[in-house]
Amino acid sequence: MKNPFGESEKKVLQPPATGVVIFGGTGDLAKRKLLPALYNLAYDGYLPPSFFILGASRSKLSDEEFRAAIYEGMNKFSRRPLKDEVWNEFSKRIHYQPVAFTDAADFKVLKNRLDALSQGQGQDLNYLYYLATDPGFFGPIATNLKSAGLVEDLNAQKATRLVVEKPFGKDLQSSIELNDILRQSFAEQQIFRIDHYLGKETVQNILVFRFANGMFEPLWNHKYIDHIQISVCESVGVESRAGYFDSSGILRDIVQNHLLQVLSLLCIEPPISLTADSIRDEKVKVLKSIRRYTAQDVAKSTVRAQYKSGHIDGLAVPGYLEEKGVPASSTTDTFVALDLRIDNWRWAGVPIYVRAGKRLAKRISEITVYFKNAPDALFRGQDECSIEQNVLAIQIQPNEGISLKISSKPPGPKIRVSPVVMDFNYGKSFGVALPEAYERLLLDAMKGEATLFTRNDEIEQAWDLLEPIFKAWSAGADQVPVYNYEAGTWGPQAAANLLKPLNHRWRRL
Amino acid sequence: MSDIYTKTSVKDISKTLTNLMRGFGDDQAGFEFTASKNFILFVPQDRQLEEAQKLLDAIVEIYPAKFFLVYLDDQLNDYNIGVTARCHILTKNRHSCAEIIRFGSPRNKLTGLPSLIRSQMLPGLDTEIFGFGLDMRSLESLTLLNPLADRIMFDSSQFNLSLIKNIWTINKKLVDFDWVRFAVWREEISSIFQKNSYQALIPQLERIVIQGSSNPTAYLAAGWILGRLGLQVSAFGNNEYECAYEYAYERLDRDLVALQILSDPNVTLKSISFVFKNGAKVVLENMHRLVISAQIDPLDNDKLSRSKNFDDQSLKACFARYLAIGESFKDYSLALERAFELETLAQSYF
Repeated sequence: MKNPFGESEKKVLQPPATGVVIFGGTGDLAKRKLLPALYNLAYDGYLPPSFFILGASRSKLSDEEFRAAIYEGMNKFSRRPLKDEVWNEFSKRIHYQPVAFTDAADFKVLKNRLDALSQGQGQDLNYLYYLATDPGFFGPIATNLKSAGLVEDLNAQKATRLVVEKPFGKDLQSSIELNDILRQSFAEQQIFRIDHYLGKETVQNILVFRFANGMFEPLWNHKYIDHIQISVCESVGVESRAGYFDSSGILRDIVQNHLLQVLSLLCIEPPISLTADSIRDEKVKVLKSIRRYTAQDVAKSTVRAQYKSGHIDGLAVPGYLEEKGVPASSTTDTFVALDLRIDNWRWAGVPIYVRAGKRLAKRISEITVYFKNAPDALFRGQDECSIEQNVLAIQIQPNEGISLKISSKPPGPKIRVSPVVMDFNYGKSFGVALPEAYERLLLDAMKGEATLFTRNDEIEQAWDLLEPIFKAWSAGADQVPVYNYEAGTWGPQAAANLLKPLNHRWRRL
Repeated sequence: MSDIYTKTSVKDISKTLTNLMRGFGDDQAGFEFTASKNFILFVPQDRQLEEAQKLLDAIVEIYPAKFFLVYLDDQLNDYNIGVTARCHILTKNRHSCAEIIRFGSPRNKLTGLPSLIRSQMLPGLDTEIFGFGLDMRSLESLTLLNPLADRIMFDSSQFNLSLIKNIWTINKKLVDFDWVRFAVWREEISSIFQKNSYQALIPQLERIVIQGSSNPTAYLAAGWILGRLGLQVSAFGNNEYECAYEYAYERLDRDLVALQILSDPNVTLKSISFVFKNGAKVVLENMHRLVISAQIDPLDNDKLSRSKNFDDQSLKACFARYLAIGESFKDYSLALERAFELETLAQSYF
């Protein structure tokens, strides 16, 4: 029998009693994103009454020392200023345990600590293990958690879940191996792979926009859409991550995860429900349908480049090869542009151009959908009446919103056609600051809600798609050149040339 | 509203603008910030900044753009950045407002300037650069800024054709406000030859005489006329051009046409005359108003004679006209190419 009074409202908002263990608790991700996100959840009253955070790293710190270290970061990185009464309550729930990730004995100590903390809450808590560490530690941590008895069966009363950050391997084979290792300790349903783009309101809005509005879905196919562009642009360089980045490149760092996730949401068939697997099943279908490149395709349909010295916001910046920690012979891509095609009934023949890069003119991520031109029979030959394509732009960041470019008649005595833009802006429409992606993702992870997390087959399909590119690129720059672009511009000329065969142009952002 | 720029730093431009907008009432009710394009007013000579600011103050009332005032000043050590907003009344309770960001730069920091502007531009919108007081020395700076823009705007009434040629090599999409001023001449010529009796004269066209100063307008006028009539310049000698019809079938029943461009340093465009073999004439003259006279048969007393006041010739009025009515610039490109040919031919003769 169902409860005639429905679920309690609080249950919808708040997850069950949870202890969050952050492995890498003293690291950058914890300081900049995770802890501020948890603070803001506390601020909004979304954390359950029984709750604690345990930071776990190699450093030997006491609870107080850890809290003091967090406080400084919190002030700097929280989207809201710290409020004393909220912080005082919140900080009481923050604890620390030194743990060497490869030392099984430390995990036994960890278990004792967690048991004590749970007892202090007066009840059994679910555990959420967040791996904010180097990927090399994912396997050992998962294994040690299991052997210390800190992983429950999937159907146990108490839930134990593992959250891992990208990168999920560095290619198909390593991602399969990583998943095999994790699956030795955790069931698939207990593993939550974070792609923080999925936590962004604007990315979640893609589904609502497409399927809650009757007017767009009939047009969302090859009959009406001319092409799509997806751009993920950063103005920053590699900064202090040169060592990691040089072994990765932008194709792995951004395209394999964020960009392909956004693309799959943009292009899916309507799911049968909003459950996690319904949506993820459709996303996997899109990823499977994307045409795989042959070696010849890679040369023709991909562009890779590195930034050279230039200017960002008026300041001179060095080129990639001049950055500290980057080898002089590096051919690592800091920019990539791809021409992708989805071979299914909905998208046949529609080019999907994607680009991602560092040290570009500004930080902006946008999806742009170009619709096919209206027949210009009525206006052909008339002065000032050249018709432009309707363009739907979904800006993911920084100015979250949606705009639609249409043609209109400007005021005046003559029939003329001029483009105008209809705008929806989150700030103006809803009047609230958007929550950070990690707030939503952490909340969902605590609730066991997996919709916004990537499933293993999605990750493997994404790697499978990119494998031919890695192979062709590693054959050498004479096969697929590494172009240069000036920092502060929109990338190399070769990226513009990629769109030329069909008379397309990258949108100036 | 104040038009004094609030000084700010690169990283605080957006914040300063936001704070500025907050000053427009508690909820900004009735204040609409409109922008359907990016507009860069580029002033390469800082001594013209005041004049440029006046133009900007006039344009913001009629042009729906996010504005950037970019000037060069070697007295500066670093970028000088300021922001302001200008509003004007749309209706009783509504104001239309525009943001203006001013960037001053010493020449030695020029290479970083595009990156500064680019980061503030509105995405996906058309961008125009208006070069105010351009000269040959400023072409290098214009070349640097050009990648930001879809088209370059200027007023060629102060230029020579050689400068336009150089700008043309930087960007083929040009908007010349002197062409907008020339519109009234084009309209009147078109109106005259709308009549069948005057159209019938065209195969007997013998000579075109254009009188004007050495600036581009006279050459552009010539280029436009030649283009519309399908005439190509084939030779230059004795201070006149020999023009032949482009299409062979037209050459069958039509002779060569002479084109003369006579110098008059006092006025941009003094007159345009069409002279026909049978003595018929169509003359348009600038006598502080446009005076048109035409006679089909010189022996006939039946003459067409009228005059028309020139529109407001100011840049602001040209902008307003460009917005309200638009100007067809497809003929401009053709006219410009022909004007270049005319000048090149004359120069090579000497």
